[in-house]
Amino acid sequence: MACFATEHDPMKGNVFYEWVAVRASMGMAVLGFALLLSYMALGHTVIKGIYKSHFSIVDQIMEARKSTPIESYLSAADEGVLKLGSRLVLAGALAFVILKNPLGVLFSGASFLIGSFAIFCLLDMFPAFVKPLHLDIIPYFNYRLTYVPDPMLGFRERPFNQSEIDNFRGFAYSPVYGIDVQPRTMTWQTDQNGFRNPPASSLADVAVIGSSFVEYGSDLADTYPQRLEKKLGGSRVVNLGKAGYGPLQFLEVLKRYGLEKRPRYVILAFYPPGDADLHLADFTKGRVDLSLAKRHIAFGGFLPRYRIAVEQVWRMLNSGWWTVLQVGFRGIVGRDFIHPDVAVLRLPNNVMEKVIFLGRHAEKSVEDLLHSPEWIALEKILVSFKQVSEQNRIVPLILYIPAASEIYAEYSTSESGVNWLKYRDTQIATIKNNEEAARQLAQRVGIQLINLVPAFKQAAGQSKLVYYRLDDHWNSEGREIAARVTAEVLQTLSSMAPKTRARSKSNDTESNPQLESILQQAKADLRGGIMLRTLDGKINFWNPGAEQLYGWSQREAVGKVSHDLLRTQFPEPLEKIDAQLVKTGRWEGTLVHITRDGRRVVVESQWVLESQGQRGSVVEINTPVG
Amino acid sequence: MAIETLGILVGVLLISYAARFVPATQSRQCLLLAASYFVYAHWAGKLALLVLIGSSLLNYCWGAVLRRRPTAALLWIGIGLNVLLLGFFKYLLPVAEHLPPLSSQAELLQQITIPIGISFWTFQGLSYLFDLYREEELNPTLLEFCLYMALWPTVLSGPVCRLPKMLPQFRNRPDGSISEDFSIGTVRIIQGLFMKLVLAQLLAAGLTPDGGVNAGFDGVAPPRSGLDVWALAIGYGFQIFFDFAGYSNIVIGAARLLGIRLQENFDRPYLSLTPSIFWTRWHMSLSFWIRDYVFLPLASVRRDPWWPYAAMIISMTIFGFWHGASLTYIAWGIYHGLLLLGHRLCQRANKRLQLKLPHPVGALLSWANTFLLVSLGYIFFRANDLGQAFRMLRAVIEPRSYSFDYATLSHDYYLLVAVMVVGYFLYVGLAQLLVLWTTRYREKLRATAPPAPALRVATWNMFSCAALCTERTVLENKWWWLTPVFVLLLMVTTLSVFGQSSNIAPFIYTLF
Repeated sequence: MACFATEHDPMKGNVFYEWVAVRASMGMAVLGFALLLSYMALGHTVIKGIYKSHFSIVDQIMEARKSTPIESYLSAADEGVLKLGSRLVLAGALAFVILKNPLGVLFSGASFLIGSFAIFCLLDMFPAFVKPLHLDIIPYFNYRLTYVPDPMLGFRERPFNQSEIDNFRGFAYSPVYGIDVQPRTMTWQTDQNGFRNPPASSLADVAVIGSSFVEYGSDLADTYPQRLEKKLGGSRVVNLGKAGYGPLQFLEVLKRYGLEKRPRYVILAFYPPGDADLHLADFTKGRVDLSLAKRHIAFGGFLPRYRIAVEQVWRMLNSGWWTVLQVGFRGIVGRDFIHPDVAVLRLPNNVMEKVIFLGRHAEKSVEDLLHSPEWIALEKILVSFKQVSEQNRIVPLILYIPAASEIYAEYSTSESGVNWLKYRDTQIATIKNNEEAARQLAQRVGIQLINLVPAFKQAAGQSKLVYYRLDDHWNSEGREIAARVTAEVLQTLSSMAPKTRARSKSNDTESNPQLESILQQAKADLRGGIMLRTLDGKINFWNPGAEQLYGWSQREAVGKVSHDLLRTQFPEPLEKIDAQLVKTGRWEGTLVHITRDGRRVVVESQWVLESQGQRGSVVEINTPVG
Repeated sequence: MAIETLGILVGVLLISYAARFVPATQSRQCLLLAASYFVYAHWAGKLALLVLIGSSLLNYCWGAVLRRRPTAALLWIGIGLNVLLLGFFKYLLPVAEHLPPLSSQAELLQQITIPIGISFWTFQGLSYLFDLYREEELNPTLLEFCLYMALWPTVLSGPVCRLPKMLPQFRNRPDGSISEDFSIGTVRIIQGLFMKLVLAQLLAAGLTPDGGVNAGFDGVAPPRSGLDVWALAIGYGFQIFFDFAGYSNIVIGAARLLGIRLQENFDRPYLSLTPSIFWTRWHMSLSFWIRDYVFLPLASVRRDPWWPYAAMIISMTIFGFWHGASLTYIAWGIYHGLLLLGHRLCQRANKRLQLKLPHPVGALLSWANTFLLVSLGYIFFRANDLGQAFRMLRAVIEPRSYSFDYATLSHDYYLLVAVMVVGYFLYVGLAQLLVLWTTRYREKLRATAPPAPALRVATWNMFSCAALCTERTVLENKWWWLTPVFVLLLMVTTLSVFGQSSNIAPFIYTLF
């Protein structure tokens, strides 16, 4: 293409303009490059010099110099220079390539589209590759792997879904903020309905319905419902929370999954910034709410899905590379900056913390809140929630979860980033309104409100954080306090309530076939021998049943190799059995063992492999035949 | 790789790239050295940087002594000093970790960590001393020598450079065309990133949680089936190849961006027909180092006919030991020594017997033999201890272990390895075909006169003309379709890196 233009083109004028344009685009890229380099070398020194100088002109540029710390200026300058420099370089390079060879760029663009479409189709056909390639950081792919579409709820999570997220640092973690967060491993498993419960959960005394607040935790025991169950001691609590659900879905969840658990209490966890300001606001404004949006993203038509995937990949790459550039740039120019979104807290006893208030409470008066379309919609939902509950003789409760700003805004100092400082004063002025509105609403509807604000404020007074630093959710500490407060309320309620319900504990046990079978199993175990051994056969545990069955005491047996000790005769080669055990996790068959006094016993043997990290241990249960 | 490290590398790459355009030699070298020390300090820590500087100074000073009087005794002292340093950090520290923490010295030792890349730059220092002893004309300034030891693309894990090749490149401004360096450099970086961060990771972790090489070697049950062992050996062979060749690609590409041409480190090693060819194509920078500075001097010590074979095994043992103080590495070295020895003996026997197979069959057999034996060797390299290695090798020998019933690895793993192996050879074949096609096209273009005027073209000629036209569009504008391919590769790789965030499995070759 370039040769057409230069060699045979008689229009010399055009050639000249092209020459100028090419030079200009190159110049742009070089300028951006030079800007970045010179700022890396001198930037912070120059800004600090200006900040400390006494010229009057500086007072005009840095108006708020007296009240703003140097870090804010540095951070703003870093971001501005990096943005300008990298954009100049990119735009210059792009213009250069396009001017040099427009046809080639066109062709490349077309091949690129074809290539990306091919990759999309391949991933659609072989979803097994999505996770190993870590493409599940793109929401589209993640949703497709974990959700199933649902006409009423928008989406549900797959039943018996299992996953593990390594290096989890919070949903809004980014190294850009300069706040260090320890990575955690999150393990995840769902029950038959796709909620985060132990598998095959059946009846429950308390059902908790809500959004991510109810669902999240590093593992099952770390979630709010499981903590509550532990506090209640004996009562069963079922988790019916799902990240992405809002009040519109809560009612449906109660009807579809809550009632069948036959609970005595149902708790609706209400978090205004998510439930009212996001979900219901979208709904009342006629937009698609988050839960339905997830269905559209993951299960729409083929081409719309391709468009969404490309869009999300583009956004991820954009923000990811921007983060990389920013962090690397700061690693070189210096770390003396504060991110504009960061709030610096001074808690009692001079404990300093840096956090980000992602979920801020709505800055409205109590009346405005109660008369806003979101809260009116909420009231209607709560009324039917109460109705459905009471028809089924369930006591409804509302758990009010405050936004982090309602607890900690007061503690933020003026050293915080400029973006937070913009909100700080109005946030503090409206700090009690959401809580008060929720109280009045609950009173009007006639549902008891469990208010977490006092307990959280008390914890803040003891210099504790009950929210993640870079995530608007409550942390383990917060979940623990919430469980404690809820348990206290529930215990007073049940001590006051007359025992009118026909259902009682013993009836439940008899009608539950699962418990029945566990009891049966336990009785059978008394007759059989249970041992815990390594895969090679070394015995680590030996129960009294085994002592009785084989005549070897625990002290004699532990440490020996079981196949040698019992002179086991296998129905097939041991290697084959081990192979099946490793592959499927269990093995069952008939074995012949020789006891201490030389007797031959025929046993039905069940082996179950439990892997713990890199070493496996085998539970072997032997039941004598006849 | 943490996101922060990635960002800093991008920044340092920018700074070093700017160094290309600095006309003054010394300022250019200073800039590169500062960037190198910054990267090394960030990666390995300030203490390790001190060790690196210390080693550079030591070798430079000793080199000055050696240049004046190149005697064997002085050379041996120089070697001894370097080996002492290497031995202390690399072989003594791991041993000290196993000591019971009784004395305060043991505690102190435990706080010191291995300076990353010490085996690579110590060998660079050693080759400088050897070259001086051979009275080669080398007169680096201290600045140049420090840069040679610490040049940031190579400082972490090679390729092991030689001063005679680097010195002219430090002294003269890069003379290659900027756009060519840029395009070749970026392509190699992207290729390397994809190999290392996607393909190698995929093999290591597998498609399902227990379906990768790692699970196979470290999993609950050591594999007892012959099929499993073969699949693991081949899978790990490809994992380490993707990992290390990918890393070398990144390094060579980054250096190329700066206008520095480094020695190649891998040249399609799995296509080698014999073990001795394999060693000229696998980790070339180190294997040539061992050949030039260990094997050749050692082989010339004695005149007995068996001595070169012994020298070969000794050199390969040193090669293995270089990877770390572990019996498995030594066993791996000896295994390869024996492999080379076996190959030599076979060659001699063949000469006497005049056994000739028809060409494609013989070559195929020879290739398959080499590929399988080299793969099997990785069992030693990867196994957690010698016992495991021998247990796995026993399964290979026992015929009854080949029954499908014994196989414990998941089907996903077999599928993954098959896809990788077939995909790799397919890629190599296609790349070769493209090169062939291009050269033939060039020749055709040269042979034919300028295209005939359009009016005289007959109908039968139309077709060939259209074909030529397409050929021309495709071949003369490779970037029209190659650039998007590489951009897509880069996108997949970056997403994968972001997905793993700060959780990239330990990079195998930084541990050496």
